[in-house]
Amino acid sequence: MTALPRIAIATGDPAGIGPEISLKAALDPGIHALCRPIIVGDPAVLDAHAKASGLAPNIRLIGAIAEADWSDNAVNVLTATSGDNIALRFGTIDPAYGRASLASARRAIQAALANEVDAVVAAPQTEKSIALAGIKFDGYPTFVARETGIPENDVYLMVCFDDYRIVHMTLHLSVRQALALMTRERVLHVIRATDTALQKIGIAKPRIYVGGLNPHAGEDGLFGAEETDVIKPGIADAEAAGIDVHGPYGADTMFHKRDCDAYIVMLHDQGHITAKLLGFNRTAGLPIGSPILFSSVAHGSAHDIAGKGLANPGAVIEAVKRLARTAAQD
Amino acid sequence: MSAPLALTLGEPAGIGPDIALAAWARRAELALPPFYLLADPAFIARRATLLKLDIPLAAVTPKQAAEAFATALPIVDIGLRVTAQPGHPDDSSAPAAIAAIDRAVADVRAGHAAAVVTNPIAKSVLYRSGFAEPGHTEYLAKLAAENGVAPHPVMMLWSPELAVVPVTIHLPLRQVFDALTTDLIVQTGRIVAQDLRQRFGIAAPRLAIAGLNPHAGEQGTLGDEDAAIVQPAVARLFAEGIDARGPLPADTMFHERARKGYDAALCMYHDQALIPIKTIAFDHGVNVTLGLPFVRTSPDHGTAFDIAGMGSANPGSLVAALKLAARLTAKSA
Repeated sequence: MTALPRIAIATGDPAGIGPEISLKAALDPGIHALCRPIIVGDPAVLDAHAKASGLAPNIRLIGAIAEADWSDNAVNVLTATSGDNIALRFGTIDPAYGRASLASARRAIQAALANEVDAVVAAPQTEKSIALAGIKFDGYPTFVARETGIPENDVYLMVCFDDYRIVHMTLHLSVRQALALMTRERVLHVIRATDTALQKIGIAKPRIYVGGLNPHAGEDGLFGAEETDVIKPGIADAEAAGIDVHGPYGADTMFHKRDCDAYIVMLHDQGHITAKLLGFNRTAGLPIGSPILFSSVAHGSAHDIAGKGLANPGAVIEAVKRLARTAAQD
Repeated sequence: MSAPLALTLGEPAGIGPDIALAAWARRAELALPPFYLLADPAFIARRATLLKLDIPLAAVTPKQAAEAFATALPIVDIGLRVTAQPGHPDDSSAPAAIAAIDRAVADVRAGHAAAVVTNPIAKSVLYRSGFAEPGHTEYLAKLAAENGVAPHPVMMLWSPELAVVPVTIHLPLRQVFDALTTDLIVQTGRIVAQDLRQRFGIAAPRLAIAGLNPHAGEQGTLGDEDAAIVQPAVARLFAEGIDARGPLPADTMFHERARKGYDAALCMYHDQALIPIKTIAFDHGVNVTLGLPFVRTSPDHGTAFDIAGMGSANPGSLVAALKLAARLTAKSA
């Protein structure tokens, strides 16, 4: 039997529920059947959350992944701080919390790049604290791209909920900027990235549907040329490479065709309107196209219940399990 | 007895005739308002036979239609013979489709019909015949012109759960930047607010206005149109006493709790409006034209040539269109 995959859980915003649900997930017996978890974050913050939440984990502090040991009931914690001495006030905004949040994600990504862990799950961050720290951050896809040395626009967000997966060819860009990225090469690139990611999740021969940019996917050129000039040729290139990919379909009716493993949309709102209607608060984000496996969780840092022991670790557990199954296939 | 609804033939090779027959067959169960179909009676009889539907047809004048409705599908003859086979539009298609629309508008303006309900047309078929309007909606506005001035028609997609208005409609996305102006949003918002008051009976309509860009432009970091074009439109509407809010991030304005906060959502481009309504009300959305001097509704689907004449077409959206037309007519009467 091969060893279980190692999953790093980055603790996210110290003032939110991230550290608490990271600990709860690492203590969950179901998790241990599937993977070997390592928490990545500030030990003092974890200690404060454990006390506030009435948890009494047996913590093993490690300075490197190689020191981790899963033979007892200890929770392995890899120290990652931004150098700040965190004065923790639950449920508040502070630039130090923004720095700490990204420090834990960065350290976990480094471990994944070094093949010391198989995947990273990031507990919720709070964008206000990150912005107060003066750090440019518009979500994990570009962060993962920067931290892994990939061009920002080459990492795509795959939103997952229930059995839906929606990949966004463009994300946090103005509509004008998104139009400028409409090329045959990029269409092929996003289809390839999606195909690769789906195979990593264990779908041997993924089927992918691609949505159009214009109304009714351009209605045969009547409402725009990108479908004919860019999207169809990109799909044809991907088909020629052996990928089972179809489209372009009008983005307003495509999501009713359910016999595929993933959809690709051209614009942020085309995918996010659907995901927030159908998936509501169950959506997790997987940046795909980078060398590492990474997932965010389905909710925010819930400042209103931070430090009370009330937070449900379900979304972290679900994200860990999804990636554990994925990593185990490699 | 109040005036019946005038239902147009639509593209005869499409599913329009099928769903008209199917809706009439369930008139009692669905409590449908009386309507008459503007068509070639012999053509409808042949389609009914093809569909193995034993439906009595009554050739009537609009004035006789409401009374005939209980026992037969009333048909007002458009005076043109129709020969198109299901799925195969022919030379009779475009003239018949247009004649039915012309007659419906004439009837409603003469007071013989309470409202116009239109079956789907095939734009490509009409264009080939020389039809010069972009679509149904624009043609109806032209027919509604007073002193040569056509009203500004506004398309709303309505369901009990959600009403959306695409401010730009069937435009390539690249052309949205030129078409989308503060004036257009304001004009659209005024018409929506006025018709929500007058026809839907909503005393103080609330409009939620989406941003063009993701996150409504995120304070200018994701495009400047939301601050430069949409925001001033919201401010002007608000200054005119219309309860308008925005620009709002489109991805977070359609969930159930958010929908309770407004009566109609104005969206900046086609997919922004159509994705949520197709997700929430896939088979019972209604296309309503606002800004016309009469009520016009339509199913929000196309001609579905691939299933015409087969009996599998779902009349749900037409049924919803008929019921909404009756409701709006009662309100504005």
